[in-house]
Amino acid sequence: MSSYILFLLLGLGSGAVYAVLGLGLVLKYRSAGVVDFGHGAVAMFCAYVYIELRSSGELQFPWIIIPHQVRIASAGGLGTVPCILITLVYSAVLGLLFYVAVYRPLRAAPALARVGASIGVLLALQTVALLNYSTFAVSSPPILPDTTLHFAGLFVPSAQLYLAGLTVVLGLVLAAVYRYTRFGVITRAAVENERGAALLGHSATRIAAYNWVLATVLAAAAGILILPITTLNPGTYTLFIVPALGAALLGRFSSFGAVVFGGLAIGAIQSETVKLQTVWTWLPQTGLQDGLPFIIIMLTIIVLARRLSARGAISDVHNPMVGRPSRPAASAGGAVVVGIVALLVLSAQYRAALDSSLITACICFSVVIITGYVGQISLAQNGMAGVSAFMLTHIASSLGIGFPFGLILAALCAVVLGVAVGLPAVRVRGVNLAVATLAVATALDALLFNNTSFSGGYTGRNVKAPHLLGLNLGPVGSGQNTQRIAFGILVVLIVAAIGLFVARLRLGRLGRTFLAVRSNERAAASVGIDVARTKLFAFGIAAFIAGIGGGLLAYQQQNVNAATFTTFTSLTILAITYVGGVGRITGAIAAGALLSSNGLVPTLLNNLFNFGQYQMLIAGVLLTITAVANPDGMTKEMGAGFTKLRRSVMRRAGIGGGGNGGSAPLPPATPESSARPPAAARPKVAGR
Amino acid sequence: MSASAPAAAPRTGDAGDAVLSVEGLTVKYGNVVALNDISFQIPRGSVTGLIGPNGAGKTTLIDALTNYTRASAGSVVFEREPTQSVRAHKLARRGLMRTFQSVELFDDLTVEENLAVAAQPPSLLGALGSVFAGRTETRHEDVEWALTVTELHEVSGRYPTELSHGQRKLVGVGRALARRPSLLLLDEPAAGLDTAETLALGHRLRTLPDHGVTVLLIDHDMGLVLGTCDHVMVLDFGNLIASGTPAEIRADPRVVNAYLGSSHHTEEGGDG
Repeated sequence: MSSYILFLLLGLGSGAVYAVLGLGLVLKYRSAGVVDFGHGAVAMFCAYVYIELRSSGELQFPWIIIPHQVRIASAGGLGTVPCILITLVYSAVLGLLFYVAVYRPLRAAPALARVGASIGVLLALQTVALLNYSTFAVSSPPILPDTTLHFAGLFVPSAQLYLAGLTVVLGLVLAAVYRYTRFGVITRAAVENERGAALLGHSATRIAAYNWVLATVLAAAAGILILPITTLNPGTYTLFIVPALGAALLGRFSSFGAVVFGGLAIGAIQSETVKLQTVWTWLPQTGLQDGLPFIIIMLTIIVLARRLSARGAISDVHNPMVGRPSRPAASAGGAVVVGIVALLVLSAQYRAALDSSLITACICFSVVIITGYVGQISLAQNGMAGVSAFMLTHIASSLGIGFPFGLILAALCAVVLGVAVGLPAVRVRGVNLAVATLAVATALDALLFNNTSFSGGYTGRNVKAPHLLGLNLGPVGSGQNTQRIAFGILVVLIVAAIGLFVARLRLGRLGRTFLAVRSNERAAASVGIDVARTKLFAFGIAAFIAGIGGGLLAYQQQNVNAATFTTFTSLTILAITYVGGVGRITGAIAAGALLSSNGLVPTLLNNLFNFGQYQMLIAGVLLTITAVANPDGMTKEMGAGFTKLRRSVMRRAGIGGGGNGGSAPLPPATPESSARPPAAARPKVAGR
Repeated sequence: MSASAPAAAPRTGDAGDAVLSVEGLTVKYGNVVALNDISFQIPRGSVTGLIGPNGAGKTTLIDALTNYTRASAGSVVFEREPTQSVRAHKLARRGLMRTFQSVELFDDLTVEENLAVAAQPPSLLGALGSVFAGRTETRHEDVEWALTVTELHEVSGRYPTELSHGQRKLVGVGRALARRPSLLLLDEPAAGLDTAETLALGHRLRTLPDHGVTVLLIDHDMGLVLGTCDHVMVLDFGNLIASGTPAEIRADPRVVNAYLGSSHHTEEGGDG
């Protein structure tokens, strides 16, 4: 019995970190209205700042290429206390900078822009840490007294208990501050009514900035204090955000006490499952700890959905613009011609890059549907592609079904998952849905992709090349014949067909229904649209498209393994689609060609400047910039240029078809075809 | 007739000919009684008006009739079938359509698409099939009709955010009409319109019964309601205090006390 309690107590250490990060999330949300997905990444970066200061006396900066460290002490490093103090001051400055540069301008932006910006920060910090510190796990000398306490017949390491105790005290202090002090009351007032608080002479911006800085400092402190009892690496620390979001949700982003309790409980139960796995051997032996926050988040959403209302902020209703594809069939046909010509002209390396671009574009199409057309933020789309990719290998090996039916069956498996992922969307929307889908992505990663029997472990699973009517359509032929044109043609045809489908969908009944749901769910119901079913339907369609993309990726790589479909890849897919233009066919294609790690332009840049390692960083930075400055995505401007170009080409050639690799929106030549002007968007109170 | 009888039905039409009949409808928000034991019937082919000062419970009534708000007690029968626990979109599909006081258009869709989305069949699978069908859609006849009735042809390709407030209001009405409802509930369609626009709206509403659309018009504008409707009901603090022809309502001392006495404020302070 006592060993069960021991495991519970051991989990209090990580539980304390979840709780403190959860408290920070609450502070940020209540003061600035942003659920900061990058909160864990900030804690991670500050932990590196501390540990580098401690070991080498160098101060770290969040950038690359130009020197990112400055020596401020002797090579032996500084003592623990000065290091902690310097890091906390550093984190305060970092928090203030992020608030002013990124989150303050997004105060009135739609949920997607805010989620996007914070995910951009997450990806950028995570990649900077990967590039500067690699994935080597780092550990630290003890900070809190590290003795063994004799407690109720148990010998418990003291650091965990001290951490938990500190967290409880912190929760109580915060609760008291926000209840009784002037600062706390003003914060609450500014949350309720920003203009009202401003009329009384309180700047909501300044209040939010204070809270943001406080939350960042707390995150840094938690990141530092947990160091001795865990190991630091960029990925795990960044993903502390998931259990922290679970804790914050349990506290409905308002109750400090519930957040502390929730965080500690998640940590304790995670630790307990380690014990239970040895007792109940039928439990999954991998990933259960990481899957637990997912379960908690889902249960919280199911139980508390009605009370998880959005903060009452002023929001202009300007969603990212949705393109209106003109002549999709002609564009798709042109794209096929261009694609095939390119395959014939390009070298093997660039043929592979073209294939990659198109496959990524295909997965991005799923984001265009679910996030662009229906307005539902899904952070799990690459996870669905992954399920399909692995299922493709299982269907081939167990059922002996090959191309094309195996691919379709695999994509249908992703549909089942996609509809399940969509279930929370029936009850919650906006940022809460983003939290739920992030939890799904991490759970897939932990429970499925790291499960050896499903994913083949380290070596992954091999994929049989697609054959049709005796023809080998795979990327590899006999001998040196790699990146075969036949496979490229297969990819071009399938992706063009899906692009055509996505474009035609936009123009027809289904697209209208989707956009009606995105625009206004109340009004959609008033014209007879079943909002819940429409969302699930869209999640299913998007999952199918992602699944086809995942299957093609499997064929291309000939081997699938978990690394291809981590949580971060799902975040990256949303990021690059958003940067390209989340409501547009051309946005997805631009994402694939310009922004995916193996895409055409990155491959070119990689050959010129060894650029590939920076892809996620660039995607992250661009995502944040896009969210803040250009929420319609880069293809909005490019669309007008494309159209002009196409028109002049057509005029000269005297033909009716366009081959711009996609379908540009109509030019603003007539009022009928002009896209909706964002400036006219009426301010509206969100969170009805 | 006795104007003080809250449960009185409008005079013409009997129970068998009612599109909608409401019995003892009560809505409570916590301890606040927003609607108290409301009973009435709406005869088929009529334009019925509902007036009442701010906070009388007018929008709550529409919300309760369309199941956007849960009623605490009472029953509503629409086209001879009870509406209890029928979800809002199902009621719309049955032909009970509403507009919103705050318009609530689909800003991502053009005016025509706003109407088309209401007119189209609800099947998602059918819609998916039409993506593959490869035919260009022609304008639905109900959309055409709704555009004609609301005289929105000229702006059919524009986006709602490009339109004037009055036009946006009309798009809301047109969208509800495009489904060819048997009963149309209009929530303050004239709020924010100028006098000429209001007059034109009244004329259009009068023609709707000829097309099989029964109308319940809720508005602040006494002129519009009394000038347009066959029957008028008066709501005050959640109670139905009067019901009758426009002439009877004008003459009713209770209405004058409860509502008309303060009508100048409410008319001019309309919150559209």
